[in-house]
Amino acid sequence: MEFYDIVSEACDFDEAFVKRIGLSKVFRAGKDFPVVKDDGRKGQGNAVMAMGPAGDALLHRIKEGAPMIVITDLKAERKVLAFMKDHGSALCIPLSYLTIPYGIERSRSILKASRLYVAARKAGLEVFFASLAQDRAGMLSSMQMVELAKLIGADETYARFSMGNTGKAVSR
Amino acid sequence: MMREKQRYLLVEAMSSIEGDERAVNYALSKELSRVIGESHFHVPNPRVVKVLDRTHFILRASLEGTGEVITALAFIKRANSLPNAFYTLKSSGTIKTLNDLYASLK
Repeated sequence: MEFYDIVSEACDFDEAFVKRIGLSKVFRAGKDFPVVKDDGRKGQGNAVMAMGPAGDALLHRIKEGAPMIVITDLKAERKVLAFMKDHGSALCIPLSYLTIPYGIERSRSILKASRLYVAARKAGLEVFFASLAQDRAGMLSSMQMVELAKLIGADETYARFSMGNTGKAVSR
Repeated sequence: MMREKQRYLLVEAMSSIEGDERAVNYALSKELSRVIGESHFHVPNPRVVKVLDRTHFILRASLEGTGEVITALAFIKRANSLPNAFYTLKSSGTIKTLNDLYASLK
């Protein structure tokens, strides 16, 4: 099975490394596909990914039609999730948000991500897992991504299926 | 006596770790016990069994604790007080399979 990952534009890696960690392709968000961040500016209508904390600004981004949403504060807001369902957007859970913090902050992030995953699946959303790493230290192998997805509540079959579909989702 | 089932993991480090098997094992065990928890460390019981080069090694863990070790390796961002990261490349029931895979990586 082919697995994909999404990292930030600035993340540096080579293709041999991508192959070694068990991934078919790693997409650079902002380079391989357009991304809109919640910086108060009006977004581009063709953005594939929208990022921001759960709130009204993110609702605007969803309304603009981004098919993949990253909730950066990992808050499971029912209103946002229902709005995503209505607009056909999928949720992307950033796994580096769990691996980079340390100690109690990491435990809190795991709990939040777990609640977000459960609420999103209950709301009927498609959920993707990506590292969204800022640098090589934040990148994860396919095995690690599956285990982290399991840690926050996904079953192995769904985690593998979702990681295999990331490529299609960003090419929509 | 029942023999505990083991699993072997081929691990790549982002930066090199200086030293022999014992030194690598000490550096990694210290970090793994912090992430897994001192009272739970004996369940996966991870141990470096073979150092392949400065950035690749084989780690052994109990079958039931393998997932936990893979997750813990994703959380470790330091070793020997220096920034580092660890990637689990493959798991297998035998060291030989991982040795063959490592040879194909070169």
